[in-house]
Amino acid sequence: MRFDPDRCPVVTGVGLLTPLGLTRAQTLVGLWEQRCEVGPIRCFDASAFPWNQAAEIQGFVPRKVLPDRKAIKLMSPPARLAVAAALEARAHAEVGYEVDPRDGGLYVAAGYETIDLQSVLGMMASCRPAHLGPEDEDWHTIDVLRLWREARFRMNPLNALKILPNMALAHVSIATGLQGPNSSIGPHGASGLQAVADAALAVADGEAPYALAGGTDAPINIFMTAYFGVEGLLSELGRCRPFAPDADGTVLGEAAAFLWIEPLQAARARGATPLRRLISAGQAHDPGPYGPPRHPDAWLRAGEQALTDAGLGPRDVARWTADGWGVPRVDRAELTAARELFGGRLPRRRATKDLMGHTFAAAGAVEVGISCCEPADGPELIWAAGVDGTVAALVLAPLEAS
Amino acid sequence: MSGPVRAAITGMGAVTPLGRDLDSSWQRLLAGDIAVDTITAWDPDGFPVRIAAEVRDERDDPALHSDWVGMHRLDRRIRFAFQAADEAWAQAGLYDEPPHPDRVGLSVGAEAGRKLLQKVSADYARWRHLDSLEPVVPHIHAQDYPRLQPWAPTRLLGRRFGMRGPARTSSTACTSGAQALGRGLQMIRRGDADVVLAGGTDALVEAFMVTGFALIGALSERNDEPARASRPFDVDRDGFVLAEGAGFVVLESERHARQRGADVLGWLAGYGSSLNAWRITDSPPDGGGAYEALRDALTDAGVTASDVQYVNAHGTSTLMNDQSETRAIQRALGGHAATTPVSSNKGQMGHLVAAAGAVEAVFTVRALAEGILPATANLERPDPVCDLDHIPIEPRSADAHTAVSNSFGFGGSNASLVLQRSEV
Repeated sequence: MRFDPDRCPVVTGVGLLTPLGLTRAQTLVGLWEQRCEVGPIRCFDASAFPWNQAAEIQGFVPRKVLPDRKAIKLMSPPARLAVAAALEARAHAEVGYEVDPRDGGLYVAAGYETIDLQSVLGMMASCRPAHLGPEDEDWHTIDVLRLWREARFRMNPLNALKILPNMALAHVSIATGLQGPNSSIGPHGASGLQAVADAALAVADGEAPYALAGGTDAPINIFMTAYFGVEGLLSELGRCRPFAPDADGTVLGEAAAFLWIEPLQAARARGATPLRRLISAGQAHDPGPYGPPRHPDAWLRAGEQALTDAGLGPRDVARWTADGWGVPRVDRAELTAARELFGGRLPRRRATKDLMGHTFAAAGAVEVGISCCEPADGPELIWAAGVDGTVAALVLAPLEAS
Repeated sequence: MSGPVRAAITGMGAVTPLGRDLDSSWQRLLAGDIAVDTITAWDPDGFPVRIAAEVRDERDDPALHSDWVGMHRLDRRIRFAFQAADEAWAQAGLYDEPPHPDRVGLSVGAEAGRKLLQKVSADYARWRHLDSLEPVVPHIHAQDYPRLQPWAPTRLLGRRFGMRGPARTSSTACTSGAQALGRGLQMIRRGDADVVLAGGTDALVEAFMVTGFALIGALSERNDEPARASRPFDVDRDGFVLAEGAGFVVLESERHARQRGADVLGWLAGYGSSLNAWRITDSPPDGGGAYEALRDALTDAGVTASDVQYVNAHGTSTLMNDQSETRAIQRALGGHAATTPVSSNKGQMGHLVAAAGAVEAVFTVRALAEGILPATANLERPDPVCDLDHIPIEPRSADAHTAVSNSFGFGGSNASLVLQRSEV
């Protein structure tokens, strides 16, 4: 789908909160230094897992960043990251009182659980029927009476809402006042890019005069580590090396990235600095088994759709921001699709997951955010694939290029 | 705006507490049956809330007899989704003439899975008391956790029907189902797909969610008379009743539907969405947010307030929602609000949360097609602050061609859909 060139959506503000840094500037410095932030997992004891490395955000203190301190305890970690990154994006866009927040669109891809779910689960786990042990088949049933008693005293009434997937959307909306068209997309690797594409479409179609879009995720927990590890997606060596011959999997990372998107004319009219134009998007679904698409077909269809709609040939693309999971079979599919898409002559390739791991729902938005802040010499294709089988592609271009 | 291009609805399916398919659910809806009863899935004794609207007759679950391997092991919400989607796909005749898989989109409204949460917590209980996690690793089923994710129904439906076009999971609590249909309409309008399977599914009648919602005070505690518990717009309402189920529709571009000669059951003509930016649990008493969604949906469909002849309200039976929704309808429809019939299906089947918007849209299309508007159950004494043209207790015959279906959710997401009769 091509975004209407008459209302060409441009990015005017970027907010980044990644393992490389707590702000856009810090993240860019980290990228420049090629600093790898993958290290031993600290938020839970992962020493017994073969997959015990991840890229965690260090030093983020919500009280210092978020305006409403009372609301912090109602937010799950991904929601906290989201609000901080969204406020940075709005500040970067230098949005003033001339912009009415009631019309603005809000498109969020959000992870929805980490420590909160674990505390809730811990409570549930303490409510097993007393006469059963782990070896019993009915071990996972729950003594509901005990649960109710525990919950009444131990559970914040709003905890049940805290783990709903749309809480990042709700908190960003409350913090920024945005009330327009919106969506909250389920957390997977492609959803961040889907959110950006949705926002660009809404702006180009005139559905919203401007929009805030992004992704947030904090997937480093015992469950994600266990299940993704067993699925064969995580690196036992504790490093993510996209496309490297000795790659053996990805590592989990946490991040949030938000973008302020508005039509080029509106941005110029209010004196904002447009950073990048969003040209077109494509997406395809792979009906294969669980996990990121391992067949080049879905990658290729999404990429072809984006390039065709952008009116670009394979040689016109100056840079390809690869998804680069670091999982050999997924990387092979992506590379095969890229060779076919670009006709054997690959453009300059970039992948950032070696530095900050796979940030899932945030990943696509992080890549777009980083691209917007770097110098560009031509159109760029960004790819992202999710464990739900979706592949999304987005074409960006610098302002002067067509 | 994209212009008033409509999507043809050529297939519909539903699994609700009232019935395991659309026909039986619709017949029981018109008959005034109420599906709210004491919870049977687990022993609710000792809970302040012991009632819900469950999908019963597990033995009749066609999914269990399906040739699809491993169906019985799937999460309850995914089984509901399969059944409703299958019904919609069959009614649209797409099993006989399958569309090109690249041109088929999928838009699903779903929340995180709940039933397996108990199993995951069992894993957690095992692991956290162990000195080493090594012995448990071989016993972890890699697919348990992904199945909890909101996108699991999307993934499995895509696989079931071999879809390769755009796929989207909307997770906006009680608004998910309506937003999924709205996204489907946008996929058709933008030419991303010729056919979109859109709908919502949820299975929330589960100890943890009942505990959570009961603590917020959102659920009705009328345990002794379950049939009278869910009473939207009634002065004695005291909260909603949790329910479960799924609703799916097949949306097609008009050209595609005409080309293959499909029966058009109705039209999805407009979609509006908004946020309250207010509070996590409440909606603004002046109907702000909900009003914007309703207004935008009418504009999107290219219709005016006077064209709306029926409103299928969100009507949860909570004090706040019903009052706020009334204000929103009054603001959006202006002088026509007093004469536009309004009803909520939740009095009979409870609140299906992520599936609510989709199931209610399906009922609305059926109501327009058959010329009979379903009633609001238990509406014995309408609340004076909810001053609308209600349809209490008994369904009403009406020659309506355009209707609105509302959905508003926790977290402040709102969505409205404009639906039209096939002849319009």
